[in-house]
Amino acid sequence: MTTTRQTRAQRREEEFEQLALAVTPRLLRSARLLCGDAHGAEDLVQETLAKLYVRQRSTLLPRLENPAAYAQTVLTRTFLSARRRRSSTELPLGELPDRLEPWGVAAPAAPEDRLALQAALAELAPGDRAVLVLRYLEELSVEETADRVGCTAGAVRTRCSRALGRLRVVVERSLVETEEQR
Amino acid sequence: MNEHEVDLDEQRTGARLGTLLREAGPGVDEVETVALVRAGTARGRRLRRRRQGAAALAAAAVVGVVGAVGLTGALGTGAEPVQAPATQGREAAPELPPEPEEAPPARWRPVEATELAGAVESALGGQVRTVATEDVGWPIADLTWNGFAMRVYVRAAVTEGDGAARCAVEGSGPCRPVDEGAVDALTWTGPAEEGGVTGRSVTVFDDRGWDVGILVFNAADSKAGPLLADQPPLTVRELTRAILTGDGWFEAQRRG
Repeated sequence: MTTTRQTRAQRREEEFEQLALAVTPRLLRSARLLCGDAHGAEDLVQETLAKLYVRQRSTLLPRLENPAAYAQTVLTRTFLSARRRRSSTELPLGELPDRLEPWGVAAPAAPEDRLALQAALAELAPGDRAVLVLRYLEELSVEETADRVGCTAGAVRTRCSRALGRLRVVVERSLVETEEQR
Repeated sequence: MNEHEVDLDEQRTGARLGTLLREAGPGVDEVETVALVRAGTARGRRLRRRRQGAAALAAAAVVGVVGAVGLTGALGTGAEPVQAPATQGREAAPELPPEPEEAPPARWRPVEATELAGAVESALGGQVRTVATEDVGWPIADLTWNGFAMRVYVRAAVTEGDGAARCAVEGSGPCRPVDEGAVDALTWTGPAEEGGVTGRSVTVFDDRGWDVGILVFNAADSKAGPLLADQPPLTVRELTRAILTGDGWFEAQRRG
């Protein structure tokens, strides 16, 4: 009996490891864009994996139908709730911190575009940033994004439109550069 | 620009933004991934142990309270007033210390597991039969509702925050705000080797610090056929209403 339980527990550990290895690169990519710094992103991914682990090992709740989507939802909501908690104590920075620099490893976009995009993203409200990442990096529909963030489809459309408007200068400059290169 | 042009413009900007976002950071190498998975798993194990510890503590507290009540009751039924024996010559503590602020108020203690069938009957009507009950620090009951398998529980919160915050962390699907809490709902179909049973769960995370959950299945057994219907017999809306308007989940409600 004990051996069976141990085997089952071991199997679930292995299943979790496989799942975590599969979803982590994608989670980290989103987390970097959401947090704006490498350490914050890694911490957010670890917290997400920890919650995913607890959920996967739960015997009370049903098995997850789509663990990857669940992980992405946990990541987004953990980020948003952490930002809500910190919002009363954080001070806006006049200049971008140096920590954004380590991102610049062999990325195809022009460095100035990359930095400008990161700067523009950092100025957005966390909720707007989350919506943009889900819509345009994860390529989710408006409805799926609403589900992940926990708001209505209308709110997603409004946030997207507002955030795109604020990023338009950066994005359009990049578009012009791309067309000139052709 | 008219509305159509605005849409097209947003699509074009959005498409380019997607490309920029994908290019914005470095790739993720395997070493980094493995390190993150190890650290995340270790953190998950600690979190799970903490939650199990909290559950065990809650169970011990319930046993302690029940024991104390039992002792008081037993001592109080004799013809003569009886005092509990002094321990090691010391006087018994005059009164229990106040409960910590973050603990759910005592009057909101859930009912016994054996009473959950009555709570379901009161909230949903129908024919309710108890299959099994368990107390793991909070009451759980496996029931049948009009012949369909059902599981019900009332659990003390194991994570921090109000209902919405806990729902965001523990919920499986999208969270919907309700008065004094948030609702998480999920419908899923189990593996074919377990009968392909479809289950539907609704959990209300309330701001007082309790999670009330109902799971209902489209078979008499949650893990085996035959299927009695295409879908579970109760909708998310019906289950949510039953939890929110039911008056049998907590002792305080039963006392009115």
